[in-house]
Amino acid sequence: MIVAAILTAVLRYVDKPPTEPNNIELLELTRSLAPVAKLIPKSSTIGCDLRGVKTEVFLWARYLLAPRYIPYKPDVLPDTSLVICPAAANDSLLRELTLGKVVIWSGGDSLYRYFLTARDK
Amino acid sequence: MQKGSIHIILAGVSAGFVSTIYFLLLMTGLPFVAIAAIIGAVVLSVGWGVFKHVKEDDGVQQLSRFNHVILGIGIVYFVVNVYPYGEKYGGWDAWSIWNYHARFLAHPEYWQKLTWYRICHPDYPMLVPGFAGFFARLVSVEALELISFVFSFTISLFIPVLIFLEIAPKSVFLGSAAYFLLLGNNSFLAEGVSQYADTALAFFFLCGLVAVKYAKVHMKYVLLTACSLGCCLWTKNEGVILVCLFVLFSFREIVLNGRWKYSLLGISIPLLTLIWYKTAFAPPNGMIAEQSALTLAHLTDGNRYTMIWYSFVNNINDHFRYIKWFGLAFLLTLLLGRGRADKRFLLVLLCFAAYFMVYVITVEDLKWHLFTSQNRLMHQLMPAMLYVICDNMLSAPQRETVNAS
Repeated sequence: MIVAAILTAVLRYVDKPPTEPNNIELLELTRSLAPVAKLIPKSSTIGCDLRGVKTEVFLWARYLLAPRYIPYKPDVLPDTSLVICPAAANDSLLRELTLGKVVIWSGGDSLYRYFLTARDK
Repeated sequence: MQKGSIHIILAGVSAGFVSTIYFLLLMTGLPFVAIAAIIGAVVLSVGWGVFKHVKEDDGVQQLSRFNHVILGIGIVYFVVNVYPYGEKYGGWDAWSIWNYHARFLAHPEYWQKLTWYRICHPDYPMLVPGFAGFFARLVSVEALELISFVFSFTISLFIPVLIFLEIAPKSVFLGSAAYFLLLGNNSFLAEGVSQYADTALAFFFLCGLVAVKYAKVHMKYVLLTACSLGCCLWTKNEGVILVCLFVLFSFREIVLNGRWKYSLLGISIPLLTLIWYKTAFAPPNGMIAEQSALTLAHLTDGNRYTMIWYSFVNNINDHFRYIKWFGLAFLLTLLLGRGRADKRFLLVLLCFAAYFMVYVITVEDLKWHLFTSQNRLMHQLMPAMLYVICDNMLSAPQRETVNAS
């Protein structure tokens, strides 16, 4: 009976759309950050530069990109950084975010825009 | 003990030991293939021996057909009711602590990076992340949340089922009442599938209380008790408090008359893992490291006690309303001299008191600390409390009969 219960729960769980707000956003971030996980090796340390978004987004990015090390508010950001800003960020902010940096990858969803940048040497 | 109870405790403890041995071997730096082979060999040999022993043991009891029907109804009720609470990524602590740790443990080459952080509690024991990490590595890291969900779902289901199996054969009414009180408790269900470690701790503590009852019958129950306590140690930091109090209260059952050998055997692997991790890898625990002269001021501040007490009462009313009436009814029978309480009841009460004192001396903002964790600490102890109350309710008439005769 217990095994049947577990199997039923798994089948129902796999199809279940998220309803809790954090889970809804996390699912969105999972899809959006999938290319970053492919580009950055697991042994890397990268920065996470949040511009005008809530702190939870750092925790989600850190979670989804683990085991890559993403320090929280370091004094100096690592050479490679993931910049996250609201989807409605204006052009001047976007220019500021990428000034003096090489954009390796960029993407976006209904909530945020993402730029994977490397310091221009 | 019921045959089903033994299976449930063994299944839970086996999962705990897979996680513990995995983490222990991770610390040795062995490659994953070797770790998986060792775990596979241990599980197969121990599993075969245990099931052979249970099959041949005439002392175990079978559940009646009627009780099986009630059990089945409860399981269906659980599956249906838990559905709204089951989220893919779980609650806040799941993605910020437990599953996050699991993501590191699923990568044996990089797991030590976890200890570089200071804001995700890398000092916490790793039973739950270790289990998810090991199986995610075996299956796929993409399936980590699913594995974590299955683990928390199963453990949450095990708790009411174990209570029912132990109580129902003696009183169907009392067993069913306790069973459906837990299954009908939305807080218990929500917390259960939130993918936190609190439910696992609640389960292992309950297993310890169930198994120790039979410690005088056979040494295998001493071993089961010790294994359950070992899993408590390696599940959460609070487990250390629970285990210390448990050993103190059950000293005669699990230490004296040569029983200490079985206890040592059961608890040694998780204890060794915990000590090794805490001393060689983990950062210091903030709660202990940051204690100072302020602790004395906290201990003598009456307002803190009042605040914690009111928060405790509010939490009981919000999350465990019906279980509260159950407990109050039992306390009333004790006050009227109609009931009896054994030392396990006192043990659980003392665990509540110990948790109370944790808040008194906390270095965190008290209001925030109470808000974020008190209901979870109560979730850890409520199943044990419910089981102990039911078991005592059943034992009281028997004791009176013995005394009268």
